[in-house]
Amino acid sequence: MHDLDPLILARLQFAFTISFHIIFPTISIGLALFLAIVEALWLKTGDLVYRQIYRFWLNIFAMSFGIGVVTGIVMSFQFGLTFAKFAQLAGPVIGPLIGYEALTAFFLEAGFLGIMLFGESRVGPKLHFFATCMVALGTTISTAWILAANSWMQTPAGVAWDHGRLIVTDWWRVIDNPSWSVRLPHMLLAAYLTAAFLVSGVSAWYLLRGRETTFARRTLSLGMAAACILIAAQVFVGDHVGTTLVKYQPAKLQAAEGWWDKTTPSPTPYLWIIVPDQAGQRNRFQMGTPYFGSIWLTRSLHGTIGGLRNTPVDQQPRMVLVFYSFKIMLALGMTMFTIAVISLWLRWHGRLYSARWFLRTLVVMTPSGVVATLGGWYMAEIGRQPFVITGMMRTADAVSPVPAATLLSTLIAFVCVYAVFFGAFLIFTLRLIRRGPVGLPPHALPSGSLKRDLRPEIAGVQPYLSGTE
Amino acid sequence: MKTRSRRTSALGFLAAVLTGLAGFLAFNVVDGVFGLVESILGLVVCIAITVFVVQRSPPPEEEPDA
Repeated sequence: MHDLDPLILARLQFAFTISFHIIFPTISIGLALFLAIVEALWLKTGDLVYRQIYRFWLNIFAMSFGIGVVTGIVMSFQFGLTFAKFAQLAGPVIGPLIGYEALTAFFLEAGFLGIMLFGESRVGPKLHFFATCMVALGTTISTAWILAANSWMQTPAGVAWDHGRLIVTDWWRVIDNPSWSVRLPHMLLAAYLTAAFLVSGVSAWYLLRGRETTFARRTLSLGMAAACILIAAQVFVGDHVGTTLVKYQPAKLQAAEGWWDKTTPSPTPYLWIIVPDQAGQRNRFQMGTPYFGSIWLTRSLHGTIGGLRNTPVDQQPRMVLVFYSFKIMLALGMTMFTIAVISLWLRWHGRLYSARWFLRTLVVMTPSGVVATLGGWYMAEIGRQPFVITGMMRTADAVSPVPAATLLSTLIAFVCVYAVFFGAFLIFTLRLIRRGPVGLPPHALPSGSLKRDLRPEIAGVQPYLSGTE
Repeated sequence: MKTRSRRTSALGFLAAVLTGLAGFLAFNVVDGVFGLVESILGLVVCIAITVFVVQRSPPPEEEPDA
């Protein structure tokens, strides 16, 4: 037990809990917007298929929301218990930001979530839609606060040292720090893309089995249309995140691109596979696409960039982890872009719902958003090392004086408890998907629409229709 | 007849390759390879093409089954 490093264990524990946590907010942020759009379409058109879609995805949203809240609370405690010195130093900055996030979550999300989940037959359709929109807004504002806190750790601003403590000199600069304005839309788009590929993948699964075709076609149509717009926006925003890194966190970008040289060869290839030797400050093996390093990183055919040797050795992140986290995110983003282009092609030719190879690809891509988001976060967090607050506090100085045995036992406990959480989530979600959406009323037309004069007679939809007829 | 179907499939293949190249170009334009203004324009064009294709393509219920 004496050989175990408390710093590594503390980092592992936090990495595990935050990796697990981020899966669920990512899904719920994306699904909240999807549900708001679907309910708006239902109110506008009165087409019952939209209500079917809403109800089906509401269950999965509620589960991911619940697990996201529970696992998020754990992390707040970890700041104090595992990284007490960080909490002591950065508490005046991070504390209020996380506090605002909690306030937003409680007042907007939790409050309106009750109406969203249980209010369908108790409130009018417009109020129910308003509740859905408030939940979607709440998740967005929560994201903004959390990203403000994390981005401040990446690119701190608006603070000053005062007798060994950090004091806030400008709250607006703390929130609108140099990376927040690009990382917030990057994360929101990641969440929306996650939802788009999640709903598209599940719909493709139904279509491959010839089940719930009306529901699945409509959902797939919505999901892929959204994915086409979102992935283009994500590529645009992602480029601006890279530009911010060049200016404020060059070491992270140097590690992400896999180059060690003070100046790379001209033209610079774009590296896809490397076997880095951190101690030797070189790559044992590397493979890339000629010219694309220059084109993508310098916007010229023969431009060069600086490698990780430009950063002092004691301030370098682990290249292998940063590089492959980034490449996984990038590769998945490029795959999403390709799928978006193909979906437009198939839609134009009337084969979006019948090209089985494409539907199978979508099923495989169902968790792609979650994996890409995890890749992005690993790059962001590991790339900031060895600092917990860039340039201000090292992670090694942030850890609480907790024995390694305690950290190891709590890590094992977290793994066990979260495995149960994750197992339960997967079992219930897969069961919901296998069961399928609740059927349409018998009066529904094949498209899901109801004859206008029949609508008020359909039990269960009366509350919705009373405000729209 | 056979010549016609071969020509149709060749044209389809060519169109697919051209779409792929257009997609690759779109990625690079939006990614900012050609500059900020071009990337903003590229993004707007991508959104416009999506809206156009979604509006002009047959509704989900009218396509043949998988």
